[in-house]
Amino acid sequence: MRKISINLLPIEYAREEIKKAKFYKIQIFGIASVVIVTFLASLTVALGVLQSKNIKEAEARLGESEEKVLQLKDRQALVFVIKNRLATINQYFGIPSKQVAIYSMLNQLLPSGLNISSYTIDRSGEAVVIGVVSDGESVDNLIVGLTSKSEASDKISRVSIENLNRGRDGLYRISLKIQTK
Amino acid sequence: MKKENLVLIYQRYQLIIFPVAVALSCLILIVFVMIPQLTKFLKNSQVEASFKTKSDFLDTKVEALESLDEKDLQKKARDAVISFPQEKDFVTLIILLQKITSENGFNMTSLLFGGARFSKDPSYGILIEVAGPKSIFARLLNSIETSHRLMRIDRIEISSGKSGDVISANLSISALFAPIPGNLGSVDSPLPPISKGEEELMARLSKGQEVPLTAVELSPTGKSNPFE
Repeated sequence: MRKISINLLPIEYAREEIKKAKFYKIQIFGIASVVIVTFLASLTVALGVLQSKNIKEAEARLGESEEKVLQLKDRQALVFVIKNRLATINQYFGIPSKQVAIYSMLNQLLPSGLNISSYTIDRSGEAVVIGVVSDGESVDNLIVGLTSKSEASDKISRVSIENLNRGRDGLYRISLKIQTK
Repeated sequence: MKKENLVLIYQRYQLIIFPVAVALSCLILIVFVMIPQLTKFLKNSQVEASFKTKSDFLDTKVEALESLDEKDLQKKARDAVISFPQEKDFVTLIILLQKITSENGFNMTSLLFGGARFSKDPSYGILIEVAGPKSIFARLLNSIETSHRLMRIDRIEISSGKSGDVISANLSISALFAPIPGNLGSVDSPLPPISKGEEELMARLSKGQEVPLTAVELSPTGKSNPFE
């Protein structure tokens, strides 16, 4: 059986009640929002305070570390001096200069038949060899040795005969200019 | 306006006034408290992190420095500076060249300071004239360039006698030197590591300096009275 509901309250009163109920809900929601935002704001302030404390501690620790490094600055200076010197020493120590390398190379390439009377290797790495050989065949061997051997072709760019003469004694006096790569 | 009127207006428009007041309060809190605090928090987080990083770096540096033996470092620095001095070391070089030439069976007949310098790095020139067996001349050159004092041969002039066994050679040598830089690292600068290769190099340099240079005996040559 269907129930019949009859509202006997005046319509203004009913509207007022509905309005009150609505406002009550808005009030609850508003207060809750203010409380939450206030709580979050307080939280950020508290975090800031805590962080400031941590920063001060970190700063103090950093100061202590800097102080320790300053106490060891003599050792640090010694390390820097060693590194500074070694940087240059490393470039040269144990590595023969171009001139010494050329001397060693020519020593291997020049035949034993060549009797060297003078030998110059200048700053640019150009070598001038003046020597005496006993016969024409040795002259050939000398030039072939300086121009054809594989180790020579790697390092020698040009060999020029500056002077060649044969004396009455039958000996060949030869002056060679050797340019290296 | 009377208080009663205000109350009446509020009661009439409370559904609008209250939410607006709440929204404004929240907005004020957010704009003037939360956002500045959060910005400051983020900024300070970076500062804190940088302090921590720097502090950790310095702690590691302190640890590394403390692990080094100061006496050993002083010896190494002394050896390195002897090898590659900060200024012209004429006396040391004269003694050393005399030692090297005599050890290699050569006689040093003259020594002259001057001449062109090695182009790349600061250096001063020395011209020496030596006489000795041709067969071991290469060894002499090698000894000069591998001596603990950094030297480069930049010109070689050799003339042989009639026999060809004994030679006379003029060598132009550049002795390298360079001033030590004024700035030897700040608190923040990282400690340069000394590699194994560099340690070996230091050991080789140190080995070459075992015989103190001042202990080398100088034997006078030439006439006792040059005016005779």
